[in-house]
Amino acid sequence: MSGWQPHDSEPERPTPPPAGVPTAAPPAPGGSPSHTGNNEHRLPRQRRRRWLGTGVAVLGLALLASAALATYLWQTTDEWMAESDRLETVATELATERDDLAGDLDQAQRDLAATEQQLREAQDRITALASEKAQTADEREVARQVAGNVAGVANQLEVCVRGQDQLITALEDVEAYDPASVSAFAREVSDACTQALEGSEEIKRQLGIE
Amino acid sequence: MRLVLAAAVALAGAAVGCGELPDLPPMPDPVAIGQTTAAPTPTPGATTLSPDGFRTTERVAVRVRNVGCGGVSTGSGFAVSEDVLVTNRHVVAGADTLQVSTYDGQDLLVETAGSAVVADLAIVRTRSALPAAVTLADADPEVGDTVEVVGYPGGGRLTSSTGTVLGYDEDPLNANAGQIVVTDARAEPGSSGSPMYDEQGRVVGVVYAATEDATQSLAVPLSTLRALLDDTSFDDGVPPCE
Repeated sequence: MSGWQPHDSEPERPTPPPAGVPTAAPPAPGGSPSHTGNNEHRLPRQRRRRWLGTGVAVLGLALLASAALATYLWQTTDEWMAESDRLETVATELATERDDLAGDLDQAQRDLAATEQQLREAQDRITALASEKAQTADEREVARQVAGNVAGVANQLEVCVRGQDQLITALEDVEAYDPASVSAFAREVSDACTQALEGSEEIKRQLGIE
Repeated sequence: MRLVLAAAVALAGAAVGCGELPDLPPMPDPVAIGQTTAAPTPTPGATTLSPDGFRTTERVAVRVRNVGCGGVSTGSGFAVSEDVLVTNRHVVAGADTLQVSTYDGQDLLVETAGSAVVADLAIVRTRSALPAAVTLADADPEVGDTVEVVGYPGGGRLTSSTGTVLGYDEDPLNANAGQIVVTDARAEPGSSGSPMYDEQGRVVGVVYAATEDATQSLAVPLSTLRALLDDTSFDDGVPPCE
C-alpha cells in the first residue's frame, strides 16, 4: 500500500539530458505509443480490482458477522422464551400456593378466634365454679359452726330444764332445804337458761331467722 | 479501511463467542411464603400465660378462709414460693382453721401461719404445692404508677381492678408502722391480702384496707413486705381475734 500515490500527483516526466551529451531524436509524430503511456492506463484498473476485492472481503465478513449475530439472537430469544415460560409456570404455582395459604390463614384465624372465645368461656366457667365451690365451703363451715352452737345450746337447755325440774322439786318441799342453797341453785339454773336463750338467739341470727 | 475490517472481524468473533445468556435474578424461595416467624418469648409477669390460659398474676392469687372467732371470714393472698403465701395479719387472726383455695378451686393443706408485728402482714406455709409464685419488683411504686389488684373481693370470684398510685400516707388504722400506699384501685372486704402489681406484673404492695365507698385502697409497700420475708423469726402462730 505504501507505493500508492495520491490521485492528484503528477505523472513522472523524462528528465532533460545534460548538456554536451548527444540525445536521440524525438519520436516522429504518429509513431507507436510510448511505454509511459501504457502504465498510466493500467494503474487505475489494478486499484479498482484491489478495491473490489477488499469490498467483497468486507461484505463477506459483514455477512458472516450478521449471520453469527442472527444465530446468537435467535438462540437468546429461544432461551429467554423458555425461561419466561418456566417463570410464568412458577409464578402461577406460587400464586396458587399463596391463595391456598391465604385461605388456610383465614380459616386458622377464624379457628383461633373461636378457640380464644371458647378459652375465655372455659376460664370464666372455671372461675365461677371455683367461686361457687368456695362459697359452698364457706356455708358448710358456717353450718358446721351453727351445728356446734346448736349442740352447745341443746346442752345448756338440757341443763336448764333439768335444773328447773330439780328446783321445782325442791320448792315443793322447801323446808327440807337450806334456803340459801336453794337460792344459789336457782341462780345457777337461771344463768344456764339465760345462756341457752342467748345461744338460741345467736343461732337464729346465724341462720338469718328473726 | 483497516478499521472497517478490524471491526467486522471483531463483530464476527464476538457473535460466535458470546452464546450464553446473562444470569437471571434469583427466584423467591416458595418455602419462604409458608414460613412463620418465631413465637415471641413470653416475659415473666402479667402477660405470662399458663397452659390453661390464666395469667400468672391470677394463678398466684389464693382465697383464704378463716374459721374461728365464732364465725367464718375470707380474705385474699398470693404465693411467693412453692409453699409460702402472703396475706394480711387480720385475715388469719384468731383462726382455728385456715383453708386456702386457688383460682381453679383447688384446696390446699395449710401447715403453719405466722404474722408480722409491725405490719398487717402474715405468712402461711402450705403442705400442698402452690400453682405459681409471684415476682417481686425492685422498688416501691411511685406516685402516678399504674397498679393492678387481683383478689377475691367479698369472698366472691377472682377479680382484678386497676388504678393509680395516689401517694403515701400514715396508716389510718395504725396497723402498720411505716407509710402505706394509697391507690384508687377498687377493693372491698375480702380483698385484704391481695397482691398489688405494677405494669410488668411484679408485686409492689399488699392490699390491707379500703375506704368505705371502695374507691380507694390502702396497701403495705413492697419494702415492708421484703423486710417480712427476710425475717425468719416471725413464725409465731396466728394472732388472736381482733
